[in-house]
Amino acid sequence: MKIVRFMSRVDPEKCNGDKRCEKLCPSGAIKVVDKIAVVQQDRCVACGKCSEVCREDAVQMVRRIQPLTLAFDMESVDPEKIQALCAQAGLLPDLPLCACTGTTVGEIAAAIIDGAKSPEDVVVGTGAGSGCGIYCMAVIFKLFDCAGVQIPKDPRWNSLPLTSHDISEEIAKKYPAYHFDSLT
Amino acid sequence: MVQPAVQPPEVMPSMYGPTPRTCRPADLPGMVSVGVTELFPEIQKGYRQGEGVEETCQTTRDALAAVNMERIRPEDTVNILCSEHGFYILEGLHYREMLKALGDVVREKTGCENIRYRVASGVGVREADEVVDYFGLKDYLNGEVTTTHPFDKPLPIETEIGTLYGLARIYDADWIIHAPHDEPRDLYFHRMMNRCLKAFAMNYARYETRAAFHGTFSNRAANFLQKAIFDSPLVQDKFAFSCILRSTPDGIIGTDADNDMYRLDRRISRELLRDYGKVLRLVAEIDECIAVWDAGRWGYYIHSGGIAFGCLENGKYDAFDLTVPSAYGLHDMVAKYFSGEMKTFDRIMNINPAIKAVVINQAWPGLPISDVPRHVPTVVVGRDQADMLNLDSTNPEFMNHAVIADSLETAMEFAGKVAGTDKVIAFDGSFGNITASPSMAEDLVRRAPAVSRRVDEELLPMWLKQRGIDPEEA
Repeated sequence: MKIVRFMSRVDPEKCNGDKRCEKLCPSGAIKVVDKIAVVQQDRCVACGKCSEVCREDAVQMVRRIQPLTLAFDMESVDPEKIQALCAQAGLLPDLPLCACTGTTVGEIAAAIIDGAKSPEDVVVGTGAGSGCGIYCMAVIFKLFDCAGVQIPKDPRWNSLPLTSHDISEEIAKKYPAYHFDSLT
Repeated sequence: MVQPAVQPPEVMPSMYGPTPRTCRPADLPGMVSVGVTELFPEIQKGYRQGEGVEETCQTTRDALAAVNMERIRPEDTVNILCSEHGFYILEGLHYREMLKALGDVVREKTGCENIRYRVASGVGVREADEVVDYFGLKDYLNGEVTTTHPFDKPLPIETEIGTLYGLARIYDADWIIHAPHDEPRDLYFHRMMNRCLKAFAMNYARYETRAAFHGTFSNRAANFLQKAIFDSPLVQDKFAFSCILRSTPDGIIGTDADNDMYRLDRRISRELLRDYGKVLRLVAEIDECIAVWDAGRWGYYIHSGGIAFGCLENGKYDAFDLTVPSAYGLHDMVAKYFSGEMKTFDRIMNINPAIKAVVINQAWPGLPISDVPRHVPTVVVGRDQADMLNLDSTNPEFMNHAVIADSLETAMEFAGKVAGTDKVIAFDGSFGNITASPSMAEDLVRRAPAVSRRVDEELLPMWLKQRGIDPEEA
């Protein structure tokens, strides 16, 4: 779960519409319309990447009047389906895979079972991927892949659903020092 | 052996951190420094900040003398691959000097003028740009300077284990020269396996590849990713040679270079295991302490005596010992879950219980570090540092668990009361010295001889054997 206390605000006088912000936004909250970046407030997860990348200093992070809570209601999805998807991915549902928000593998699996179609949906629906935007993404790709959901093509991501469990027996035997088949 | 506190390297101003502090741990009354080579006289002495920058130019030229550059033709393009981490070792001037000398030598030996520098960032989108500006690289280096970051344009790389993603800007030349630094940093991840290749799966890689390294591979298996990328036909077709800035915990000791990446990796790994292994095991012996973060980097990566804080945080494991099951990380917890030892997962990092309090005088947010205040009393110095942590999306709850002090002095006083110890170790970017309170310094001095013996007689032979490294290989 993540409580989002900030959001992006664009100064239209400074914005040059170069789309650097749009290309980095993990939740699809900021889009350039008529050469000015516009923020959809209910999708902004306050990752700050738009503010960081803007060379015109046109995006500021401002405090929300009402914080936004990003969390998925696990009870809305059949727990057996969550278990099954996590098992297929070789991941434990209780594992808090997102180091930034503590979002668990099970929450992401539930969001995908519930209809998330892209990493963007997972970010907004669970909070995972709304921090550094790096470390938990491999698990998100893996769960989409195991659920059979083809994520849309987008310059923001390249699906890489690779885990150590996917390494072939041939490779594991060829390189025994790397212990692909064990937990060490 | 114990001396008045030595001033640490200066902090580069950055949009990622608070205004550089005027009061640092070394300025506090009573703080001392204990020299790395006084603890371990056998560790090679190195240059500190303000020393030996010009000598780095010559040692780079010397190291490159035996490198074969015949395949680089005058009409070719060459990318010198730089890691912005190198600019944070001491004050970054040695690394800059190595890069300059490297470009100059390539130009002299090959007649190639089209030499470009590619500066890759650690996490943030603007980090490398800041480095380029601060160090004046566009003027200082003789060649085009461009930056890249984990979200920059991808380049699919076909490897033995499938497609992985590099950064297009890294590979957009006929030749690449791998020019990192060797300081081991987060060895609890790489565990000195393919250490010198790690940038291929990190600095030079898109975030998807970095995510696999950290998220879906155990921490031995993850180190195959950099090997897979390096061994790929794409990289092998472009790889010319590697030139690496060398260090010990005492400072910068020169440059090493080789056309054979694996030979170079073995050579450097052997020395890192020996030199860093001793200080690492000494830090792991600390039984109680207040740790202070005080430099312009993320807390995990700030040095004390050449050892990053993350190594203290994970110090209860010997990360160099490959028989330790997953020295730290996700798979360690999975094992505990299966065995029934752990019923739920409530943490990612396993905080060393010797850390009784943390004081943050200055450090960057931007990496998930909330496990620190959740498990250890944490004092943040200054409203500006607290505001940055409040705004930090990677640590949204950090300040719910930390308190704020107006000054470093009051923070230390409070931390001392909470921690119940007067042993202080400052992670202030130092190589060559550990900035500490007298009680901590005395403790380190007392423990060092036994650590040294154990590493020499027991641990180093085991670490080398586990990696198949010949202690005598040149």
